Amino acid sequence: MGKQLADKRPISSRQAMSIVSSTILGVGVLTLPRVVASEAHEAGWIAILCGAFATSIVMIIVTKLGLRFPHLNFIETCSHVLGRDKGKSNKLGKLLSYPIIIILIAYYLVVAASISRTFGEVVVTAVLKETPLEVIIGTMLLTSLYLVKFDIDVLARLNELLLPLIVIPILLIALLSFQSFQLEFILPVWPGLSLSGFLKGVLLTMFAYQGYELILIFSNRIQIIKKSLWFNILGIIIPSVIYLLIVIAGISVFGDEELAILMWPTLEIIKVTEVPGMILERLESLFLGVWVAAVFTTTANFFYAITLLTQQVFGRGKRIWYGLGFTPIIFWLSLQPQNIIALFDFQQYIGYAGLTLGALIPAFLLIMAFIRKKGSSTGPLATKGPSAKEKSTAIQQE
Amino acid sequence: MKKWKKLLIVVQLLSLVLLSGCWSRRELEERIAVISVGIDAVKENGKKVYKVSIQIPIPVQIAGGGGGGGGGGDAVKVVSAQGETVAKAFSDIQKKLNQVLFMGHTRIIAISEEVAEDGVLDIVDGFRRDPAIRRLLWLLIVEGKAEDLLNSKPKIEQIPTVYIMSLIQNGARTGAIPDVTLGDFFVSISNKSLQPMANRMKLHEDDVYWSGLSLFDHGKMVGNLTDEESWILVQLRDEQPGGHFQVFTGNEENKENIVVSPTQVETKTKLEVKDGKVKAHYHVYMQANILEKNMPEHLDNVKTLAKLRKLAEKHLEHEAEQLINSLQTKQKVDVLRLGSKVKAFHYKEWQKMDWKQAFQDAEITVSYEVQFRRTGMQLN
Repeated sequence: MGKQLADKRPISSRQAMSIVSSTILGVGVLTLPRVVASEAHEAGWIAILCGAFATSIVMIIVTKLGLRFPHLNFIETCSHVLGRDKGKSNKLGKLLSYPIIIILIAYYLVVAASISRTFGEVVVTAVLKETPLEVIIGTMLLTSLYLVKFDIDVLARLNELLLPLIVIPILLIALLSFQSFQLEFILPVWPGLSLSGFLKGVLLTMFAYQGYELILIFSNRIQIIKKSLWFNILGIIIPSVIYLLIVIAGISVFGDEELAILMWPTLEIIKVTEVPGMILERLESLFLGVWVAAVFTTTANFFYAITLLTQQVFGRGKRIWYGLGFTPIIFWLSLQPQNIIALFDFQQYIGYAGLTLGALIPAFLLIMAFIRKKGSSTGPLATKGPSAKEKSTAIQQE
Repeated sequence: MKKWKKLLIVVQLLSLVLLSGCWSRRELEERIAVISVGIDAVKENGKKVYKVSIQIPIPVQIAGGGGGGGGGGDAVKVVSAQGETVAKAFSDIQKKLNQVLFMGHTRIIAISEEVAEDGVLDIVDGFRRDPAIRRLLWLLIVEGKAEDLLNSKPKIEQIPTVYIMSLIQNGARTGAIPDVTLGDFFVSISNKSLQPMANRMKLHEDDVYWSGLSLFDHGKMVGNLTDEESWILVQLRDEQPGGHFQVFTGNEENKENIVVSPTQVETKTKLEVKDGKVKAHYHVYMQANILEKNMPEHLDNVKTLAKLRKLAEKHLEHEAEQLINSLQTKQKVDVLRLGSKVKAFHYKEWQKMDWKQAFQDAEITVSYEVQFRRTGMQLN
């Protein structure tokens, strides 16, 4: 792997930011206003802020871990942290890291499945009523499979390219819907919630924020600069701002009681949004058309991470073949929830799992690395020359 | 390598066919666009059932019927069917039509008064679930039969629905008709601090006109407001100017009066909650023009205008008092949105009170401040 790494292009920090943002932005935004309103009521926007804050903290852990082991891929990091020191054979480390990897792969599979299913559901309900769900899920997975064939830098560039396409429409819609803003709906700021109820609301937003942890899998290819951490955090801030706007828009247009019973709240927000001049109406189909890109970047990134991890576990083989193997599994998993309500319940558990896995695994590894004094504690910038330089010389040598 | 290229061409050609996004496409002429829905109650074997009527445009009559104009038949067709539920009636309507019904163009849902009094929650439920139904369409309550509204022939527009729709839309834009859409109705049903209302239509021979508002208590119609009452309501509730009003300047007998047209309204609400009792004061600041004068006194001095101002204020305050009194004692619904204000600004007290009762006990006062800006092209 080490050799391979050197002769491939690194991912720039901006691309890393795009990966984080566009992975987070997916189907979560379609249901988020309802989920938040049903638990945190008028204080939904505070729950979003808290969620963003919590996610940023996890992001710091993830980035620090990546910076500590800049040239190691995830499985190497795991086995290095858990196993014996360098120079000796590290079978123990590998053995210890396998459970982590397997759990992660399983989790990613479930997430990819639930995302493609959710997207399939919304498309079938709102736009393509007679198209079978399986076809929508299938095409989404096959497109993701196609991306798996290419190198990570293709994925990075794709994310960078699609991010504006995802951000601009949703931002416009959120801002336009403020035309029908009603102050009374969003007040009181704190509607007498119990702390546990509010925290549940915050927890539920975690489904919408998941996806940030993928950066861990790609971190060994990311060019390290001084502002790496800042760029990664920015990757979380972008979706947070969108979430914040769309939730405030939802609550201020519908009120929390109405919002809590809307199946696809964001689509309803779009439905009542009038574009000035009344030239365009019924924007929800158009929006879903654009939103394919957002969902694609999420599913594809997860899919890519799955195949990349498997490839690293086996240490050989082409990703596309692993991808081909995983496609039917994800497809099957995505069809498991019997109906949309079961799917939403399922998502809730995924959100909890995501919080646990996304936060606990990197935190555990970072703490272990700290205790066992592995990796460069001061970060790669302070010790040796930045990897970008190294990588460019490596390319020249070739 | 050549083999691969050939395969690639085949794949590309296949994707042209398979991935064109036309899985279940339906051409425009292959479906029937419903533009308005009317719901009535009728008796069938002694049981009360819904009679659902839909208005559908006839494309040939609209597109090709031009030129002479009078030559063709009607531009629309009204189809109806009966059923115990609205959904059942719709499926019966479908049986009468050669193409699939499409609800995405529906602009008006008209419900007869009779149905509205029995409650509309079960009717509304189906419309909420249909993704094609938009929230910005007009829910109208019809005095008489909803079917007659669909059958009305305003003649100015080819399609009656378009006529009624623009009637309401233009009214809503100028502030003369309250801007309450189906979406607002949905929101007011699910929101505990709001109570729904809908615009009311009346038919007289060939004419269709707006006749005020119908008020609902949780899906059941409980009363009406006349057009003038509705205008006062929108002044208090939405800061909309409402319509023209007449102010009597002399005694009752000589009928001297002026006609005033409000142009701009600003409303400030003062809210006080003490021991579960709500005290609210509305102060309405109104800019208005005088449209017509039916009295001998000249309007060319400031003193007269000031006098008229006071009279207008008195008139409006009296009207508003009566409206609030009727809302509190007769209809017993809070369509003033006062509840949501109490919820927003006095949440702790709000949680303790039963708003339906608290609204009836609330002390609501209104004061007006009218300023005449212009008196038209004539000085005196």
